[in-house]
Amino acid sequence: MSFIEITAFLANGFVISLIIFAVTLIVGIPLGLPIAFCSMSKFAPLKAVAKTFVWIVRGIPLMLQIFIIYYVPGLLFGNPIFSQIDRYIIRNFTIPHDGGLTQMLLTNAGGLVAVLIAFAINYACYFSEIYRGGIESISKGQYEAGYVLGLTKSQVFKFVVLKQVVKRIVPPMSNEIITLIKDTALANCIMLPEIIKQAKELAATQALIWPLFYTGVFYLIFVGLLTIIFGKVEKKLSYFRS
Amino acid sequence: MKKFLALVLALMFVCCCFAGCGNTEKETIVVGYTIYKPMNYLDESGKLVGFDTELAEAVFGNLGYDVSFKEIQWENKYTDLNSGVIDCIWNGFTCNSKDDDGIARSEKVDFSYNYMENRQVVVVKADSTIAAAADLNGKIGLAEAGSAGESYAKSFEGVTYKSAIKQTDTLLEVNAGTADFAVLDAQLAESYVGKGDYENLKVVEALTSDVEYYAIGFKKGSELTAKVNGELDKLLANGKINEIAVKYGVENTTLKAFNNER
Repeated sequence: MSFIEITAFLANGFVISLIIFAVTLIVGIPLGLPIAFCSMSKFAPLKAVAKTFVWIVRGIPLMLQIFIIYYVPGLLFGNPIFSQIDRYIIRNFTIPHDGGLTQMLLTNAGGLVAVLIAFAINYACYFSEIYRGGIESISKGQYEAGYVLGLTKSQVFKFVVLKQVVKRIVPPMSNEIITLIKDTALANCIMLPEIIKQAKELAATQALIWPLFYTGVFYLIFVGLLTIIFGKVEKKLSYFRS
Repeated sequence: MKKFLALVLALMFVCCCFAGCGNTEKETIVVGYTIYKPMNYLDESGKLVGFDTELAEAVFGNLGYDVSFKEIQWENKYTDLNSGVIDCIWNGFTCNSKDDDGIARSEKVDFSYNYMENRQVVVVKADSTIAAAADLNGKIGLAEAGSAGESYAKSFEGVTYKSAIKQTDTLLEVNAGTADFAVLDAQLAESYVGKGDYENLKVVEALTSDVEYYAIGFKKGSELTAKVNGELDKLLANGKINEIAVKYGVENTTLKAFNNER
């Protein structure tokens, strides 16, 4: 295999990493918000449930959560949901056997769904704590000032609190988001063909070791792009000095 | 927020649908494998080929099933099998071996007939001085987690044992010098050692293990075992097994008459 073919082979794997990255953000960022509100709720049982949930999800390794989601439906309930997705696709779609991206996605759809669920829940919990920290960092005086001016509770949140929160949570969020792209490598614990798995496959089938280290370049370039984007976002949000 | 809730509900609904579909007649057999040349591996066009691959396709094809292959982590094979992620383990699966917990594999899964013989070999760097069992004392030995090589590696006196995720990773580690020797299946070692980036590795012939057998593993109580055994008999009689074996250069280790040694 030439250098270009190997790059293309690894790039296919990186597309899977990027899918995990994108879906986790699309689901996790909004899902963190209700969790944050629940863990700040004045209704004690709701607060306790939310806090316990966040404690469990943040307290168990993400790899173990992937195993739990992937295996428990089959082991405990005799219904291997994710395997059923695979079998359903095998029965109903014509899968090309060219080692390309379509084949990778169609033959691993079940595992991918399991990984996406695990990642989205895990990251939503981390995000919820960042949101909570951001919201609680706004001083009480600002709410009171808002009420004095005749704004309702939701107006105060929308116009006074939220803008400051968004600004404050950008640095911790960018930290988590950069961690996320590297965490996608955990998906290979259930043999999802993300980029590291692809590289190890080259080691296994072609006896090539260097592609494993070459994958670092993909991550570096992507994180470089993210860093530039976050720099721009922070600049754009420098609307108040606090 | 409402839209998001709707999305979540829709997703859950889709999952339930899939779960529902699955309960209907199961006609697709999912075979669990790891990359293992010449049994299951990808050819240059990215297609999964190999002796076990073609034999599985022939057997399940004749039995009227669709067959698909799923790559697994070897150490997770029993979890994959028992949770229904795969229906059988067909991947140069040594049947007359004990796992690390001391329990025979035949207690954990139902095996088909033994169809091929295998040995465990010790692989070292080409310039290594290791030549006999005594030389392994004080060395770091490596095998795939959950493999038959694992117990063989540990059986040598004074060996510090480490495990790897894949058999092929053990070669990578010996090559990189993080382990002194690796124990793996002879079939696999023959396909890799001395080739590509592994050209400075060699097999220590004197340390090769006694013969062991490959069989296909099914979930305990599975009705597939008997069906597959019946089909294997037919394919042995009509020469199909030998034909595939010749294609992959394994005709010398393929059994000419099946046995049930555990």
